[in-house]
Amino acid sequence: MTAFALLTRYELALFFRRPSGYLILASVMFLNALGVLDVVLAIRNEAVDSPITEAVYQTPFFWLIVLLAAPAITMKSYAHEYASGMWETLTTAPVGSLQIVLAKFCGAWLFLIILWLPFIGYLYLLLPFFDNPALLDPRIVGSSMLGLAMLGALYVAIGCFASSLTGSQMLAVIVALVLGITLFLQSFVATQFPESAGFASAFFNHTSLFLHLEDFVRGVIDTRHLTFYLSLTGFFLYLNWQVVEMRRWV
Amino acid sequence: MSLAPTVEVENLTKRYSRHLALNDVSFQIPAGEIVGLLGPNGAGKSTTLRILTTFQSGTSGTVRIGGHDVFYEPHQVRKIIGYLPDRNPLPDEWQVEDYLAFRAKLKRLPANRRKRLATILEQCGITEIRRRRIGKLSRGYLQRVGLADALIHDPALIILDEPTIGLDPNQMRSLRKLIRSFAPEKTVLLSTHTLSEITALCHRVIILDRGKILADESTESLLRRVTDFSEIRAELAGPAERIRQELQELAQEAEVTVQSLDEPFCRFIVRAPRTSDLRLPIARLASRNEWPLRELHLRENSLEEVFSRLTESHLPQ
Repeated sequence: MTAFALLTRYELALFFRRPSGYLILASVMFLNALGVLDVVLAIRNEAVDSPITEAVYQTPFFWLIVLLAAPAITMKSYAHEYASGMWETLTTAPVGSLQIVLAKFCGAWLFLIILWLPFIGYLYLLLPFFDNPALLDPRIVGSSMLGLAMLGALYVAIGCFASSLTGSQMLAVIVALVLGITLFLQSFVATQFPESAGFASAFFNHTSLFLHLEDFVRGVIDTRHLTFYLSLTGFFLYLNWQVVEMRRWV
Repeated sequence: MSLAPTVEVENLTKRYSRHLALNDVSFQIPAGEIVGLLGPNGAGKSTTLRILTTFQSGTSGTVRIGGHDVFYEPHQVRKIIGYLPDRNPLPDEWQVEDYLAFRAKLKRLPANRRKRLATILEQCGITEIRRRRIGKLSRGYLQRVGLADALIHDPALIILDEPTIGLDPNQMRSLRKLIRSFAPEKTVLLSTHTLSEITALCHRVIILDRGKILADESTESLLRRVTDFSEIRAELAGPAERIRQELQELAQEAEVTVQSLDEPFCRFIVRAPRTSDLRLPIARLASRNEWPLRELHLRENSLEEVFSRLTESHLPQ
C-alpha cells in the first residue's frame, strides 16, 4: 500500500475512532430528516413534476449540511496536529507533503461522502409521497450524488486549507465558514444581475453554486460544472499544500 | 541492520523573525556515537533537532546526515532517522499495536513487519500493554510507545528530544540502558537539560546556550574539567582584607572571593586547582593569627556548576 493510500485510510479511520465523527454523522442525518419533512410538508397539496432530488436541494437544511459539515469534518485535520505536536511525527516520517495534503483531503472527503449515503435512503422514503416513480430515476440519484461529491470536495478543500492555517480548531472552523458562506452567498448575487449586466453578470453566474449544482440534481452531468468544482477544489488544495510547505520555513 | 551515519552540521543559523535561535553552529557526530545536546530552556536544542529531522529548515548553513543534505534530500534523511519529539505526541484514539503497525507501514518497513513489531514491543517493554488505548497510558508507557515509534523501522540515526522527561527513576534507568545498547551500531543524538543523563549515556556532549555552542567535548574531558577545580569555603572572623591577602598567598593560582556574613564573620571562597588541598594550611593560618574559624568545607565542583558557569559565560580557565 502506498503512503498516500495508507494515510488516507488512517485519516478516514480516525473519524470512526472519535466521538466527534459519530456526532457529525448523527447531526447530518438529523438535518437530512428535517429536509425530508420539509419536502413532505411542501408537496402535500401540490402536484410535483420535478425530480425529488431537486425538491430536497431547495430546502434550507440541505444547504445547512453543505455549509456546516465540511468545516466540522476538517477542523481537526491540521489544527489538531499542529497543536498536539503530531504534525512533527507525521512530517518527519518518509512521506512527502503533497501526499499528506492529498491523503488528509481524501480521508475527509470520503467521510463526507459516507455522511451523504443515508440521503439516498431518505430519497426513497419520499417516493410514496410523489405520484410519479420516474421522479426518482436512479440516474438522477447518481448524478445528484456526483454533484454532491463535487460540491463536497470543494468545501472539504476549503476546510483543509483553513485548518492548515492555524493551530486553533475554532479559528479553522471560523475561517472555513467565512470562506464557505461567502461562496454560498455570492451565488445569490447572480440572481440580482440582469442579463445585460455584462461581465459582472457573467462572472457571478459562472461562480454560482446553485447554478452549478442545479443540473446535477436534475440528472444532467455537464463537464462545465465538473470543471468548475474540480478547478476550485484543486486551487484550494494547492493553497493548502503551499501553506504546509511554508511551515518548514517559519 | 543499516550502517550508522555521520552527522555534519556547518555554520547552521536559524532566525525566527527577530529572535536568533541558532547562531553559526557547527559540529560533527561520527558514526556510532551517543552525543548529548545540553543546554538550558531556549538554548536552541529543539530547534537544532528539528532542523536535523527535516521538520524545519535552517536560515543558513548546511546539515548532512549520512551524506544526504537535509534540505535538498529530506526524503532520504527521513528514511534513516528515528525521531522522538519533545512532547512525544501520540493519537489517543489508537491501540498501541495498531498505531505502531501503521507507523511501521508508513516508514516502509519490509515484509518481516510482524516480527519486527514483536521485537520492538519487547525491547521497549510494552508487550503487555499492546492492546491498550494510547489515551489510557501512563506517562512512562507513553514515552516507551514514542520510543518504539522512533525505532520501529530500525533507523541508523536516533534523535531523541528530552527522552527521559517525566519518567520515574526505574523507568529512567531502563530507558537509559536501552539507549546505551544502541551504540555502536547506531548513532544517537539526544537533547537534555539533565547533566546526570549526559554522564550516564553520552560519549560526547555539546553545550548550547542562546543559540551558540559553548563546549563540544568528550564527556570524559568534561568530567575531568569538573574535577580539576575545587572550592573551599572558610568562615573566619578578623580583618577581611588581610585574611584575603594571606589566603591568596597560600596558593597563587587560587581565586579568593569574600562574602560578608553576620559580624565579625566573613565567608572566604577559595577556588583552586584540585591538586592542592588548602584546608590544612587555612586552618593553620587561622590558628597562627588567632582568627576564629567557624567553618571549613571542601566543596567538590559539580557538573551543575560547570554547566551554570558555561551558560553564564564564565568559562573556567
